[in-house]
Amino acid sequence: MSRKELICITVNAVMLKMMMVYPRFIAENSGSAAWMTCIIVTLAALALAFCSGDFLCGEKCIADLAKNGGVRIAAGTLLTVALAANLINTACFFPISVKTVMLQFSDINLIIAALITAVLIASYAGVKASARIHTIFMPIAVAIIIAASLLLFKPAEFNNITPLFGEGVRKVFLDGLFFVSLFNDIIVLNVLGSRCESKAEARSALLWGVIISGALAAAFMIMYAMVYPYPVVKSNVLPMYSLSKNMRFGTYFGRFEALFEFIITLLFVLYACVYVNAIAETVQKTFYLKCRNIIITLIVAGLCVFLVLMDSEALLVKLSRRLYLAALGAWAALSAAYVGMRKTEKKRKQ
Amino acid sequence: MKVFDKIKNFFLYNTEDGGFVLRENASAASYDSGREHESGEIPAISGDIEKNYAYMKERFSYPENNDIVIKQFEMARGTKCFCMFIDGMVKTDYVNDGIIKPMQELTLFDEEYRIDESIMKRFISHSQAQTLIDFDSVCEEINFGSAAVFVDGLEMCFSMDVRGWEHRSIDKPEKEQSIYGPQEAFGEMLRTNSALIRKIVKTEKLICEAVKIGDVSKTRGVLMYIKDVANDSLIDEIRRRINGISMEYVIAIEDVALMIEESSYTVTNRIFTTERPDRAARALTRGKAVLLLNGSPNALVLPTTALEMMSSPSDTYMRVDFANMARLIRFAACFFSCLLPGMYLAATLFHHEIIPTYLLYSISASRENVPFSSFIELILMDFAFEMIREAGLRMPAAIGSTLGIVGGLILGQAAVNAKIVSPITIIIIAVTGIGSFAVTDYSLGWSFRILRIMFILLGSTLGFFGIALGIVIYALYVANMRSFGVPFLPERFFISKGRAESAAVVSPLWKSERRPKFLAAKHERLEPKISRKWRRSKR
Repeated sequence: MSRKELICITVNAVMLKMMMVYPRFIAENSGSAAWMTCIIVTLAALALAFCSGDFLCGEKCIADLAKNGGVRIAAGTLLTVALAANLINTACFFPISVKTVMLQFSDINLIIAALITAVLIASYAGVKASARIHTIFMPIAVAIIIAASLLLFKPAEFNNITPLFGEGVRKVFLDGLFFVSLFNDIIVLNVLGSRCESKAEARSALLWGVIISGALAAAFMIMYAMVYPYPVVKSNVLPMYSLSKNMRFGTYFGRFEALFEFIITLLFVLYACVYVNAIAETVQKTFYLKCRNIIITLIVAGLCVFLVLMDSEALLVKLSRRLYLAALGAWAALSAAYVGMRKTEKKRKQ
Repeated sequence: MKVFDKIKNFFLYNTEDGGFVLRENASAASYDSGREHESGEIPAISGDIEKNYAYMKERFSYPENNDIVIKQFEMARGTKCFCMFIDGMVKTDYVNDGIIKPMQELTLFDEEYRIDESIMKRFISHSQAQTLIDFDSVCEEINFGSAAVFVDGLEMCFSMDVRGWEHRSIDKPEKEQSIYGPQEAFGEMLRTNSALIRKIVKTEKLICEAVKIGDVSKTRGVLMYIKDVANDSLIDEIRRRINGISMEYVIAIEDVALMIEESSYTVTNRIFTTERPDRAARALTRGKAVLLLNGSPNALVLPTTALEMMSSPSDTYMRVDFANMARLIRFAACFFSCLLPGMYLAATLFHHEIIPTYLLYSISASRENVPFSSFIELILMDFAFEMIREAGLRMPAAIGSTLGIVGGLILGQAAVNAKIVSPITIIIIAVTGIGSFAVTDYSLGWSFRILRIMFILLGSTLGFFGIALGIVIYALYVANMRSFGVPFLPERFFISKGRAESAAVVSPLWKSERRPKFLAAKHERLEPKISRKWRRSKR
């Protein structure tokens, strides 16, 4: 796997969250200074990535590294939970967003069925194919989104991001640190990083992935905050949809929010494909299993159950915060476990 | 009487051909599948000319086989000989003047000459002569246009390459036309084709490895590659697949392509076929292999990438900006060819807000009296268009224009006037059709036709959401494909970054410094870092 592929995977994961529901959470906390929180969070994520670079970009995944059976199972399970929490978190909002933006008159179960079928077929193709397609679709998607964002300059108001420190310095800078969970997805590099040509390449991919996605997230947030004044921001569940409704193409053009959802669908299936494969690989390594396709089928079936159960937006928003925390906690625990394992290994060698 | 017979036949239900019924063959014991001698002994040529004559007569079903010529003659001292060839496949002048005459006029063989050596060295005035000792090789040579000479007392046969069958001269390319670059296309003659490539790639390292495919037809071909460039494992793999083909008759190179490709049930073709020697030569210089087959005016380029199929021969000959503009148009054409009908359906059925209000009114008004749904309308028109295209391929050129008029008037104007389809559907199908003709590779056009139907179904059931799912699944499917061990979708998709490989954006020629990474060529460097040295030198 190349550096470019890993960067694209990271950027896709973070941007998907930003386009789904995350800006609302940040805005609720930081008010008009949500974009500042994004920058702070990016810096915090960079620091974390720098510290846990060895863990994320090692030659082996943590489930591979553990020699003791019990430790391996515990570490593997924790990694699976972290990955699953991230996947479910992003996936749960997706069918609702499709229904709201694109298929208002279709049954949500039909949308879920189509999505699950696509994710299943895509997952069988493997993570390598998905990574390659990421490198093709991501630059195009980012270019389209940036170009479209230029159309938002007209409805944007600078006054909407004042007061500059929004809900207060403490809220923006300290409480805002919780939103480092925006970058939870980089934990997937623990599984994929080992496929990279070299450790240095993987590390570079990690740092560049965080920088690029952080910059894009901050730009998105500032645009969002400028278009929608603070109290309104809190009521928007799907920020990308809300923003695209404000784009003006002139008298002779229609509205293009369905096209943005089209792009998000492309990116989401690729994202889900990477995650399903990463979880399958972790489960395989943890329990020494060989039947990859069966594991993939079971994971996708599990995802389907979650998607069918999570049919209320309020429930999703509530669950989402917990899942972000769970994933963040799992990441912290795994990093600590990694340090422990390394120390034990060194002692053994001595 | 005739009337009575007719009445009788009517009641007896006799067929007009007198009640002929095809019967099963009693025995197929003498069937030559070309595999009989695989394990057993190859029949050897006898010293007795009568035996040889009888064997060859039987094997070639002579005189039942009308184009077989067996000329019996005697050399000096009455040594019996016969010469055998297939009429129409040899140049009879060569046979008369180069073989029969010198042998008939042969002076006495005295003791100091050995007859077998002397015939070859002194009397057969032909440059490509060889000695064969088994009948299988002799028959194969005769079938390939050689003349065989048997001499009494010799347990061998002399085979002379006197091929002279009629063939097409070197013509202009038809499928891969280009304003720039050479205007030559492959013909049907193997040697002419290999020479066309050799004429461009002037190096002794260019290997023309002989291959024979088909157990009975033993169709000859050449596998071409540059010895110090092409990856050995790639050549071994191609060789392994070619040698692994076991079929009796190979008619054309397309048969070989179908037999050596990874999977037969993929929507996208994985082997690139070209009729241009310059394209084949360029592929060779990059480290690829080219397969030519006698009787086929196409070459197989192995391995192939998806972007290579999207590129046109003129891309490499044009200035970068022109080439990129042309490529952009071609990509747009592919997009329209594949997705436009599906997207139109998705927009009109699910996402009306995308369509500008005035256009929406216009579409709605035009569809007012049409009884069919948009989906049926589109499928009908697409089917009609494909029928016209398919008929156009088979129609003689003289009445081709009639087809255009029928297609244009009846299917276009009349269908709209009759309110069977709406004008917007005609426009959509027309743009789609034009787009499909802008695709450079003919087989890719077929892929797009199949995909178009899939996207129409997805667009009409799930709108843009369905199309997006379809695109991503197809993209992953293509990304997973390999052509002779090489990823079908190259790692460098947009820009080739100094490598001579097809990418979405055409790079200047001076930037093609290295051969494609995925080919793992023996020698990577194609040109030095500074290939335009005049820019650095002083005036």
